[in-house]
Amino acid sequence: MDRAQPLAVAAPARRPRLPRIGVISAVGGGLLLILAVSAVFAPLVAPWDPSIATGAPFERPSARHLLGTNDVGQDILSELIWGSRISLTVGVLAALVATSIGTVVGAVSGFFRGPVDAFFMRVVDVVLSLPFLPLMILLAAFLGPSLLTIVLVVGLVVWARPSRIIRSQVLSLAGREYITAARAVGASDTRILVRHIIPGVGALIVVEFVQAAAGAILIESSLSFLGLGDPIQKSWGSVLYYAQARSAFLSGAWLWWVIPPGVAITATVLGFALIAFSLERVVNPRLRQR
Amino acid sequence: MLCPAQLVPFLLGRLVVEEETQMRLWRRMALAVIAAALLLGACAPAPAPGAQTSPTAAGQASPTVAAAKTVDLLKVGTTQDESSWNPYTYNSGYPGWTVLLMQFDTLMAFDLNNVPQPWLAKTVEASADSKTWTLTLESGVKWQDGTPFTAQDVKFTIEYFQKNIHGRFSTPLRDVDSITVQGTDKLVITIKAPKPGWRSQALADVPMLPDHIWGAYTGDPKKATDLKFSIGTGPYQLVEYQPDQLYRFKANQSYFKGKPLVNEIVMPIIKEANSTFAAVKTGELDTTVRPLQPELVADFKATAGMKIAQGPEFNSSGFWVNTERPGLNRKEVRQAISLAIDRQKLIDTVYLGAATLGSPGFVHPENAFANPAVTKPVYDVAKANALLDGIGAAKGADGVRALGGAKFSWEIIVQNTDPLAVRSAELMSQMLKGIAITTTVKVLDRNAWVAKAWPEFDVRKGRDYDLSLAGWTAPTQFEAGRLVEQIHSDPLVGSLNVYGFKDAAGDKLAEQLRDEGDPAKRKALAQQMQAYIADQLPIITTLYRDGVYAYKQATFDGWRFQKGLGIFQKNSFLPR
Amino acid sequence: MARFFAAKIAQYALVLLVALTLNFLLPRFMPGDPLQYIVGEDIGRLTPAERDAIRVQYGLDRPVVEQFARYVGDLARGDLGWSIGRKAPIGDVLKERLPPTVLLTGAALILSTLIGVALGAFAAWRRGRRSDLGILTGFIFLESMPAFWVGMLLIAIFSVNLRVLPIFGMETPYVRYEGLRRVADIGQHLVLPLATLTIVSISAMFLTARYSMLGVLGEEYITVARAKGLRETWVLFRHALRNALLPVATLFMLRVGFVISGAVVVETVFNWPGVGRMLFDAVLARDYPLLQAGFILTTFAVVAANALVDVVYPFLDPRVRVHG
Repeated sequence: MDRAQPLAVAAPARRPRLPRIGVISAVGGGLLLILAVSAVFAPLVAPWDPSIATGAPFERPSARHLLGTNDVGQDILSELIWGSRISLTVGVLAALVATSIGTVVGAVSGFFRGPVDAFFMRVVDVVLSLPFLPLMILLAAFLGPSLLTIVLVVGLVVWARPSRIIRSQVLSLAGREYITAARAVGASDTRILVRHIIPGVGALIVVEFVQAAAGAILIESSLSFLGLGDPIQKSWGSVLYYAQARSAFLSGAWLWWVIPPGVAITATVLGFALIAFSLERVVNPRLRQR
Repeated sequence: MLCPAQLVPFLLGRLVVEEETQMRLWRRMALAVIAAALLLGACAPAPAPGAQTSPTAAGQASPTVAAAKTVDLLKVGTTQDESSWNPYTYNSGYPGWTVLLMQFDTLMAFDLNNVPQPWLAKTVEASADSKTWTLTLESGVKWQDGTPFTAQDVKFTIEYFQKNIHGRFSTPLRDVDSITVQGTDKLVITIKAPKPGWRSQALADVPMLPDHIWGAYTGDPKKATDLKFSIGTGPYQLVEYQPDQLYRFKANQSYFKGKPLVNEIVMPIIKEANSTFAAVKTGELDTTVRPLQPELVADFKATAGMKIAQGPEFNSSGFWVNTERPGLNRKEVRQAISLAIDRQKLIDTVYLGAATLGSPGFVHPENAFANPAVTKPVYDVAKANALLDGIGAAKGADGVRALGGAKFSWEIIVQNTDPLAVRSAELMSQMLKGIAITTTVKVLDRNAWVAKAWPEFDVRKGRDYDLSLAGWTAPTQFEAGRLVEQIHSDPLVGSLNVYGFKDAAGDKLAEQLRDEGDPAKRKALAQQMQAYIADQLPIITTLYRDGVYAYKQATFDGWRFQKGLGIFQKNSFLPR
Repeated sequence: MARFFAAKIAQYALVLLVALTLNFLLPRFMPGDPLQYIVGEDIGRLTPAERDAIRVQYGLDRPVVEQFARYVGDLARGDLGWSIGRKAPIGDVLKERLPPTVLLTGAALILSTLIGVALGAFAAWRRGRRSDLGILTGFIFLESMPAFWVGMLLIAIFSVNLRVLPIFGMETPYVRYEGLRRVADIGQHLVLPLATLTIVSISAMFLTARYSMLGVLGEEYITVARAKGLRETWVLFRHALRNALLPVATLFMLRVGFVISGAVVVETVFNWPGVGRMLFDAVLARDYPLLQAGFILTTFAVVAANALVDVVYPFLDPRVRVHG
């Protein structure tokens, strides 16, 4: 089933001889923990205030500025630490939008079936068939540069996949005995949905959310890099945008101005992806058996 | 000029480096040829600067000098596709129009100081009311296909641009009343209204079209993309165009000002600045039309074989002020903003020194009609605060000034296309905190910015911004009369008055400047106008970016810097 | 079967309709005059009369429904409109841009399939062991890197610092090579973008190959084959791999649809003259008609690939044929 969707992170490891899955999730969790801590405690962790110039422009790394300064003399390390707030927020918000829409559509389709289901699944087919990046570039170009645009654009494009996966889970849940029982004692549709169905797919929603967040952070960085983000907001993508715009390659500054933000993006996305990978095995009974 | 002693080690060093990078055979051979040419030619005793023969009308430059300097191929990176690069298809003002004038000549041409000089027209005489213009053309000028250029071509060109609307060239020709051709080399043009600035705005700006080619074409000129429509009288002819890839220009060997110094110019289109400069640095390109970014100047200066040409450019950058906004409608507030901005710090931080302080009078200090009394900006936060206190704009509980209910809390809009402008806006926003004015920077894409600052590029449509960090391109100060466009309150006269500025004294001064024909009086009025702008400040000019260009010295060293345009323009390729 | 195809055709028609509608509505719903999205910045220099003339020319004075019908009609006749920036019919622009994109993304697709399948089969064979998990996490890592960043690093290392590979474009611009030399020149330019694109797109292939191999390796006939004492590797390649290739083939065909749109970022970083770079340039030049045409083209490619899968799949998978 679901040929229209490349299997992003869907590979199981065979047989439950997988203590190392614990290691994978620990690594992923550890990465995210570090990032979350630095995001939450940015004012304490960051050596400088990245919004003001604390050195000369284009300083090389030194004890004062571990990763040097950017084109207007702001501390790059502090920019990255504060940037984790923006990047994580964009990722989480976009993922929230996507999984919310995905959950509602998936649950409603799977639960009510019939014409509602048919309609929503056609919509899902359509969204999945639209070329992803061109669509986002088109939308971002028309809507103008802002983080809100990115959150909405990512959210509106990414929801289709989770909705399909959640729908099939709901379909299998809806046939279970306790749902039939609840229906028999006269529980309303809404009540069944809220009390039984949604909690039943809760874990799956978490997996989808985590995957969507990983995707959203990557997409945000790409759009910012292409100049479609908001250059005033110090996300990792916009740090790279400036590094590129101010010729970091040719001046040799790429070593401390291009590599670190990319590492931060990669680490975050990897953290989310590893968590999703491990969670999936816990959640999906079929994968767990293997 | 390089001589063998300096040249040989340089070339050897270069060859070794290239060898390591698997240099292709042809490149090595090209280098050898260049080296030989330089050794043989460039180090012949250089004539004293004044001793160089000036080219005659027939184009016989001193053969020794020309031969010594002639270069076979120049590789120059350009920034964008300009379609078939003819008058109706090119896209950009720079490098589009600049390169266009290497293919097509104008009746007059700007010299290195941007003063129009006779060109295709040998003499230009204006009547006292500057309504009647008599032009005598150079004789013996030929189109690149060999057809002679005549006065009939001039008449045709003017009429063609009048009939087929062109964004740039039709406007200055709209008022042409009659054109009388007198023989092959003379014509008289009359204009409805006096146009003192006509030399710069029309004669040195509008390229001449060949009647025998465009006259036979009846289609939409914007779709005239065949290369035959790229035939002009200029020193270079477009011979190859690969869309989005490259342009190839061949020298017009029988150019009327003499054989051009470079035989062939190839211009690959490289849209990405980093790639362009990397290619210049590795020597893959000889130069680029892109000004070198400030952060690269030091590095390029230190690169062997690389030379830097630097000079003033007239593109300005600064705050447009919406003078209709409460608070911003007071000139004292605008003066305080100007005083509170540390222009030097902006230049040092964002432009790393490669810019000139913005004149409160708008006009670049190196401009021929600049008013030296007002070009120097003052940075004085205390004075700015005193000014604001003086008009009763007191600080509120939140520490922000207000005047008559209008809080001094504004939005600075800036376009997202220029990262340096965005950085400047952030810095300026911080500077304004020093006089208790709060501003938020809002980055907009081009269309959203236009919709707010200059809806539909028509000042009659009003405006919806407080402060806009923006620039005016160089042509807005090529000619004194153009200052009128920014100041006059009638939108038909003040077509660039994006500030909604309205002042009777300004209108009066603008009208005087517009109508004055006498060059000396005109300059005096232009200077008066600058003093007026410096006092009223509807635009708070902060800086002019310098033009900095890096080029490979070994290939071609004959570059000449034209103020406001840089090195890649017609003047660099003419025999001296 | 017929019903199945009818439903599919309806679905694809719907996708195209949505893309068309989106394209049609965007310029008309954005703030400002829709003319600026059609004629570009020149609009500022036009007199009101000239503007009205253009409005009439483009039918913007007609009712919206009529405009939409006209828009779809033009497209159906192959009239994609006029590119503001290039001053050329958009069809011509696309024709130039397609071959480079097909070369780059096609090569990346083939390369990532070959490597992905080989490593996927190997990892499945070593399932659950250290090497399997190592490769697995390695691929998740590759997938986590932003494509433009990988490209930037490769340029910084190989082009700017080591100077062994060209920095931009598809060919050396100032020389016209012929024949084999030209191929070699293009090959040299292809190395870095191809590597970047392969690195960031390989995981899906790997994961699919590994997953389906795991499935096949559990089938009974493999167990039987093993029990017969045949050499393990022979079993692996003869039986398992062939059967496991089905999902890989499917994924491959679906990816063909994304060949055209798949490399926007990579083409941009490397100045590769393909459709992806064209989309980005269109954004910069505010060439909205070109941007929209690019979107339609890429949508069409995806739909075509999906349709291809629908047609070919039954032939590849005997089970579908039997049931279908």
